[in-house]
Amino acid sequence: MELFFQQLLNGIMLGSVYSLVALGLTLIYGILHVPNFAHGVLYMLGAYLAYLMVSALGFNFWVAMLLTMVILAVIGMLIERLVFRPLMEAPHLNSFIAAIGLIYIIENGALILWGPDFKRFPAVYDQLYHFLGITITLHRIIIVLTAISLIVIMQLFIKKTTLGATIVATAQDRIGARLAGINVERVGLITFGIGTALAAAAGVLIGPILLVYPSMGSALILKAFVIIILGGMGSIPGAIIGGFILGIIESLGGGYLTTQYNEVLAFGVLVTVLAIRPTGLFGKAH
Amino acid sequence: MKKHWMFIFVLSVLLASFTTFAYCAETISIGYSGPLSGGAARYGTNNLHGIQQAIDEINGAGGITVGGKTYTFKLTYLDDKYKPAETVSNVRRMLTTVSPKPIAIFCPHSGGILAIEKFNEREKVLIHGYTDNVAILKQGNKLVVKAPMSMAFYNSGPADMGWENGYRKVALLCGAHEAGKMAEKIFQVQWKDKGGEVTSVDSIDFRTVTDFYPFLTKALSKNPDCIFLYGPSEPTAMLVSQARELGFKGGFLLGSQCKLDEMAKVVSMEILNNSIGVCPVGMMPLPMMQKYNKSYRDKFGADAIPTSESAFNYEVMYIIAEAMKKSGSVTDTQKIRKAIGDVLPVGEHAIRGINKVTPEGQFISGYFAIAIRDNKFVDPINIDPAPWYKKYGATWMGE
Repeated sequence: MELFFQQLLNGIMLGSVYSLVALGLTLIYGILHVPNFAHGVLYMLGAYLAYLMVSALGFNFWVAMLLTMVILAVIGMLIERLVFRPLMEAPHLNSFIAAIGLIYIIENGALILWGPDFKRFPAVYDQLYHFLGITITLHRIIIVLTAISLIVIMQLFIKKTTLGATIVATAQDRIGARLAGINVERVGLITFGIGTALAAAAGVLIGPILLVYPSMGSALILKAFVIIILGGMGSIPGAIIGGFILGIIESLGGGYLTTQYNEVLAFGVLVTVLAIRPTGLFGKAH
Repeated sequence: MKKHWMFIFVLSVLLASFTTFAYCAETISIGYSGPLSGGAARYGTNNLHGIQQAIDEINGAGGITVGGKTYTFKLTYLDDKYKPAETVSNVRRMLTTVSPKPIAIFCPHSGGILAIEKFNEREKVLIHGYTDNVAILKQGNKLVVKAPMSMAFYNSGPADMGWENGYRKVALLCGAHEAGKMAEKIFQVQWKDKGGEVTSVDSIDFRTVTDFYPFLTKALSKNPDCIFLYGPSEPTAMLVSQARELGFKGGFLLGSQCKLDEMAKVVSMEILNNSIGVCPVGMMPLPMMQKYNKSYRDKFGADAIPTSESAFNYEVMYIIAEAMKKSGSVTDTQKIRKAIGDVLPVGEHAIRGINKVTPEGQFISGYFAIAIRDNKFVDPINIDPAPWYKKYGATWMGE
């Protein structure tokens, strides 16, 4: 039973990070209508910036996280304005290729700038807690709480504010939204900013647990895709729940069956869900 | 008039080609194809640094003299991103476009080496494969040499020391990459041969893993005395750190890919207590190695850690240069390969102590195993290759 709860806890921790990344990805998908493959490298960039702020400049972890989110939001907006907006009217394939191009530029840029070495984030909140045979560090609790808070704030923002409503409207029907007087360009810009900031937050949160290195984003982006396809492309609750499902499957499946087939399990669930519901858990048929 | 110009043109072309020919004859090309970007970039760069340093030293000393002529070396390197298909196209590119044609190719991964072994004999090019995968020696290729010893031999030191510490139950957590899979298979055989018990076997894909807790929770639930690890140093160090968080008090046996000095950069010595692994080359108690470490740091910066990769490639580059002198040829790779056995060890450049080459192309050298106890490194223990090779030979990999 201890094993079960420990693995469940591990899964929730993983899931909260996955959800955060997937949430940003799914928001941007709503605007772009192609998956932003460069989302993973922006998560990496976030982790690096926070690492530099904490280790080289001695910033407080939370200050670093907030600053990183702001900087990455600006970078996200710049990318939208300079790369994706000019391609808005072009075939989807162009945005697709532009996103892949961004991966090369940003990942190799990081490699040149910071080198291929793994960077160890200075340990923050590494106190240990044991209860009922379960072990958890304070940082892991903080990851889960922060991720959930960000997710809740996003939900409130989308549901309760006019700006949030315009994001949903634009994602649902771009032309309709424009007819209703929404400035879809501005909405696109803001959505990119928010989505990228969420990826950055995930990068900063996971940094102290894992390591910071240039290819860390490509590892996560594949999982984020699985999640948003599982949850339904563009669906916000789908991304959140999908993230937790994947995290828990990975840790429980790995714990009880075999870690060799961790990814097989994750993709197996994806295939099963798609076979039953081709649009994903929360996806709507067009 | 027109004919006159034509004559001058033809003459100048001839002259130009003659001068390039004469110039080329005094240069010997060496090629390198390995990962220089992506996750394995540092590994690839370490390999490259060793070759580069040897070549710079040789050229700085005026080159080598073979058959009364003086030659310098030229190194051409291309990034293959760790992909065998790219190794093949890189090597083909170097063989067709680099002038003069490379005599030896260095490659640091078994997938790439196996791929170029398909055509190196036809192209008459020597390969130095930096890998502990003995499969590259089983292809019957006459023009391949390999400096790292077999993975089983590197496993044996930490395994023996762990056994002496009283460890009997081991959990395996190895990378899902090819070398990791091989380490996993070989170590199980070695541990069971001793009469030990393997409590769990799990592999971790270091490229996609986000957190080690799920893997460790599973492995630790079987109460092992020690954990065998095989993977890149820094993530492995994080694994060790997380295992301690989860309350694991036992030891860690480290496969050769895990370098304790690199791990100690990421986590504290306290966390690494009771870890046993292959001694990092920077800490080997050999005077020649210490001298090399200093020159390596002078060349690549004070932070640069000399690694097994750089040291072995450095020594092999010298071996090839010496073999050229001995054989009296800078182009006949068959002759050069045959001369290799006669030049070992290569004097003050035999920093890793390569003293013999087997007919398959395996260079024989020993190593040191080292442990961390009470927050510090204990004295390295010399592991002699002779008894091992007598018993298992060059190509045993746990079958």
